[in-house]
Amino acid sequence: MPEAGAESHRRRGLSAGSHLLVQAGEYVCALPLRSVRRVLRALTVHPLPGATDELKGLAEFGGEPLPVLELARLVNAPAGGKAAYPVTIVVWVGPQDRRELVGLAADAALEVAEVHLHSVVAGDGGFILGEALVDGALVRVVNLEALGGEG
Amino acid sequence: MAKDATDSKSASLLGVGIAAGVALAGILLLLLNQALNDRVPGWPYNLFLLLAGVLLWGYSFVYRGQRLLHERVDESARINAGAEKSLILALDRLRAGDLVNCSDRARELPGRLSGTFSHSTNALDVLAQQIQGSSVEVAAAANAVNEIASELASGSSQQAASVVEITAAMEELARTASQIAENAATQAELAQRAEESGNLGKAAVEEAVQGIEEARKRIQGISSRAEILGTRSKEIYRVLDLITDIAQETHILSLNAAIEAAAAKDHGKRFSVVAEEVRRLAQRSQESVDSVRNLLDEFASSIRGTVVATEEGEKEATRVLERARAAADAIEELREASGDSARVAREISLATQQQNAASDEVVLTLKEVSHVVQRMADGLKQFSDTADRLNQLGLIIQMLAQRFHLSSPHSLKHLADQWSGEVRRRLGNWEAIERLLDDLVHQQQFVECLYFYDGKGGQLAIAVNRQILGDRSIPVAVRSGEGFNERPWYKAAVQERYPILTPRFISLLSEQPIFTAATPIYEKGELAGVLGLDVNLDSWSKI
Amino acid sequence: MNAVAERGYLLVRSDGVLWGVSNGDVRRLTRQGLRYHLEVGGIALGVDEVVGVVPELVVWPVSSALRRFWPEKAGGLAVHAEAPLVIIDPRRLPRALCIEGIEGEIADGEGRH
Repeated sequence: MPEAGAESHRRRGLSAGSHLLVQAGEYVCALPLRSVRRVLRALTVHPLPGATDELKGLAEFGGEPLPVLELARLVNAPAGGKAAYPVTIVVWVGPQDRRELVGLAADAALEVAEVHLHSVVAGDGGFILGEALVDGALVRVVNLEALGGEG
Repeated sequence: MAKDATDSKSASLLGVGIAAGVALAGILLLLLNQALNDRVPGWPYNLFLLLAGVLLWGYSFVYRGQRLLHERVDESARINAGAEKSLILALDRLRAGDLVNCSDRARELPGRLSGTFSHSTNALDVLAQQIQGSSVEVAAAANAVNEIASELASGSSQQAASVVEITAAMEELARTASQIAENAATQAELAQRAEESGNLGKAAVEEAVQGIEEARKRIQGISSRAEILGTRSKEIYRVLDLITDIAQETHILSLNAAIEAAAAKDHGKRFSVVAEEVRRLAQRSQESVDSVRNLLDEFASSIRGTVVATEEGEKEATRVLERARAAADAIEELREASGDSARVAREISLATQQQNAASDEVVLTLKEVSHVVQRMADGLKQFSDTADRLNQLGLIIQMLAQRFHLSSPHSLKHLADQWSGEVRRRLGNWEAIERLLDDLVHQQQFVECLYFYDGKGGQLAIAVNRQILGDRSIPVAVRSGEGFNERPWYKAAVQERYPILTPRFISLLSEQPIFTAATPIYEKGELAGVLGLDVNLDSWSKI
Repeated sequence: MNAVAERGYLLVRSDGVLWGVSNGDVRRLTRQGLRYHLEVGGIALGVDEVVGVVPELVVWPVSSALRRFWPEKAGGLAVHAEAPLVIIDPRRLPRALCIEGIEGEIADGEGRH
């Protein structure tokens, strides 16, 4: 039922198209390219006392404080090998009218790829919108809108 | 006696003559006085009376003296007759060697003769006792000499046996020494070969050490070159890291370009194509870098393997070198030890040859000693025979001395005489006699057998010395006294009536040479029996 | 995101985190052994290091995404020398800085005025 899945996504305000594929643990995650502000070499992060496991800490981006989240934690990805070239992806999260910048720490930024909605095969809610096949490889599409707000 | 009677008659006639003369002179004087009518003075009468008195006194004096003389002569004759008898008896006892009874008889001899005789018999007694004692001493000395000779003979026999053993041992030693010498010579030869081999081995090991040293140096060269390669590899890694960094930066840059292109929507499509090309370029660069890195990894791994191998090789070479040096030292020590061993073996060979020669000399000497010992043994045998003869001579002297009946506890006749008195007191009580004989046998170790035989009744009391006879049983013929009154000792004792001594003969009990001292026992003048004691010749010296 | 420029901040560091507190909110700063105590809103806070005082900071409000993953209350966020820092709200002091013994009062989320 790919069409039904695509309709569902559409209803949730998410559109298919170009995505940035990143490595998070053992998962390959797809971030909607229009929500991606910048890909950076991993920023220096200052941990905050009392933060949850998903929050790595604060970093500085463009002279502003930037909260950095651990993407692998957000999507519950099993820990992979040591990251060869860790990156921080600065993305817009939250609804369009109240969007905020958040940094996502990932193990690597892979490429920009088209993720076709008809290839979304499943979705379990939370921060993963669904799963899709890109060049035969399974990728997990991240729901960045859901990251914004108080949850 | 006739002369005495004549003398007495002459004395009586003389007395009658004197009386007649005095009477005649008186008558003449009276007649003269009458003739002269009494004119004769008075002094002729007095003179006459004086003369008559003197004549009568003189006569009586002479008569009494003559008579006394006659009495004395008679007494002397009587004494002389008794002395003669005693002298005969004493001499008879002396002939029989019975100095005890001889002395008793001699006491009956008159005064000085008795003393002189007693002195003579006493001196003879002492002499016989001394001879007897000397014979015992001679026998004892002979026995001692015999024992010593026997011991010496035994010792010389042992010595001879020892000499034989030592000779055999020395001959064995000589043979062993010869073998040792041969072995030592062989060992010396082997050691010399070992020394030569050691020289060759030392040279070979030294050559090997040099080769290993050379190999180690080469390994060290390879190691240092590998280290240089490792250093170069690290530099390449750093360059690859830099390229990777640039590629990643380029990659991120291309992604950001793609993001910007996407944001520009249609205006950014061409830019997105370029960004994609850049990303692919960065990706290929990364892939190339990865390939190079992989190759470099293999290269570096090889280098590390080389380094490790060279390090191991160097360590092994060092170890081999140490072992080779140790082997060289060991070979050197072995070579020196072989040299020492060869020298010692030669010395041993020489020493054992000398020992062999010395052993031969010792064997010769021992053989001479053996001959000497043999001669000594022969001499000792003769010495022992001489001692035996001396012992026999002592026995002969002893038996000769025992022929005397001496007042000595060592005189068998005296002993038999004394014991016969004890038996005489127990006559009629055979059990008491046997107990007495037992006691006496136990007191005198030289007595083999002591017995009392009643020749008339044919009854016998006997006691034997078990120390001499051991557990030998007494033959029935002896126990019953069969034919005892025909035995020489019995007949001689009865005939002699005094203690006698038989010549040597063989004992019926011990079947050894003995002689017998026997004495008859008389009771109220009648023969009650004969007491005999057998003296074993092996123990006669204990008398 | 709206930023507000405030004037005069004391910068302190504790457990590697940089904190900023408005000068006007600091009543007392004392040294206690190797540490420092500063009294803010009548409450003593303990810090490892006093970094210094800056005359001006651009303060950004705490974003809703941050609040979602960080329950602490803060007066805002700022950047000093390319390092982010947390501005202390004197009415809602961070538990991490509060000295032991008065933590219970702070746990109610009500500061002392």
